[in-house]
Amino acid sequence: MNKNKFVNRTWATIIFCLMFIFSLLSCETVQPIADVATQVGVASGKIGAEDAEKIRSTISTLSYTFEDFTPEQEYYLGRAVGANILAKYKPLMDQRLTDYVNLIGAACSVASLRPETFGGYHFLVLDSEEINAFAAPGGLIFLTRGLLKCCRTEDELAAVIAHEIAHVQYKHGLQAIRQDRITKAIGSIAQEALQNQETVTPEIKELFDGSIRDITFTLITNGYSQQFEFQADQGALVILGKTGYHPGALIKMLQTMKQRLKPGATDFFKTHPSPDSRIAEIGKTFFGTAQYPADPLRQKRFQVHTVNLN
Amino acid sequence: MIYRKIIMPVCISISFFIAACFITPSVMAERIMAVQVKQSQIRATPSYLGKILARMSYGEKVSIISERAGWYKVKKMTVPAVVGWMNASSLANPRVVLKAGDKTVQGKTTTEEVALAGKGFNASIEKDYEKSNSNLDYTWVEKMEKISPTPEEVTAFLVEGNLSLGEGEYHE
Repeated sequence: MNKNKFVNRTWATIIFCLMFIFSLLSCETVQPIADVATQVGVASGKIGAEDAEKIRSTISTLSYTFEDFTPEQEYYLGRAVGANILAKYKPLMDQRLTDYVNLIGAACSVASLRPETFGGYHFLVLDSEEINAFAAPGGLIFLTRGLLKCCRTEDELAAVIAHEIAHVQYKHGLQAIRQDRITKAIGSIAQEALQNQETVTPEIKELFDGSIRDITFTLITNGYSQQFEFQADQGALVILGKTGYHPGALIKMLQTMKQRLKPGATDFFKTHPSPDSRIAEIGKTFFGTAQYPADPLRQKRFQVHTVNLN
Repeated sequence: MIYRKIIMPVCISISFFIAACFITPSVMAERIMAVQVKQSQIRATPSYLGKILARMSYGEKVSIISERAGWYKVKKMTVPAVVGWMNASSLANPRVVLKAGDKTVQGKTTTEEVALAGKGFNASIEKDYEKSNSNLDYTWVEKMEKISPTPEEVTAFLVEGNLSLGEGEYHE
């Protein structure tokens, strides 16, 4: 082997080996190494005020999504939304019905994609003739007396409940928060932590207030997008099917609701797509019928527990 | 000759050694997750009907052994080191479930972990929010959270109604 050939082959081997190493150490491996190196510096106090400021500005310019809220933060948002709903609607004082609704809710939540939330699922019936329901982030779910009256069987009541659970599993409530507010909120929380502040800053306070306003406005006044409502119906069909309730009960309930909704009302008539459009959308994936045999035992307990509704 | 006998084997050996140094720890590293809900349970089987082996609280860590249909087989990291199953929705990457004021927070090595350590939307902001909105009353929110049927009540309700615990995959 002449000298030139030897040198070339040696270099080729070295380059090949380097490429081999880097191909194994892909971005997924290299990036965390770099991150940890930077973060160790911050945590150990070796990075000065100027660098810390740079990090803070980086945090504030990152784009966060609703998925970046922790389950605990979602829980506190949900509680505040619940308190707002309960400032507008009074609970129905019917313990037997409340317990029954919570049993159906517990059965349906196990079948959801998200059986466990930070504070769990809890259901309350509101003393209102409106046809309405609200799913606060984290699993506080409210159903009006008027909506329950659209249900003729336990399966139909389960359909209503499963639809609301699906809103929680897809985190539709958190998605009602304005995107710029989410970015600011998560960024500010990160900054607050970095500065190790113990007190609530006015900025975080305002962002919390604003987030609650966004969610309650969507739930009570504006309604979710048609896409979210259709998605919640699809989620409900799966939950019903997995639990053993008849998915066709959702269609039957919507047919009853169609007859009961009053044009111009500020309830589901305003905040939800029409029952007809929901039924049409359900028909794209569910090929069964709205007619189903009511289970005698379920029907008996449904009648016992809903006796005071009318 | 020198190339074949020395240079090439040495280069290849060094590259494998360097790669192994970085890759092995990440492959072999124990996968740790933390409880992201207030209360959960480790069960004997991957089902809510499974016998409860241990009760777990928010922030407690587990080591992941395997995964099956929405459940993780886990090993509790504190004594007694119970092995069992937890639903995937109850667990998350430990960095999102650190408690505020948790001693483990101090000295954490990543800004992300520190940032999410119970800061922001928490109990103190709720207190403040309630104070500045006098029309709000959390009484019924508290009452609502106390309405929780027991697993035995749910099971009896399902059996009585000819229903099933809707776990696993759904096929129409």
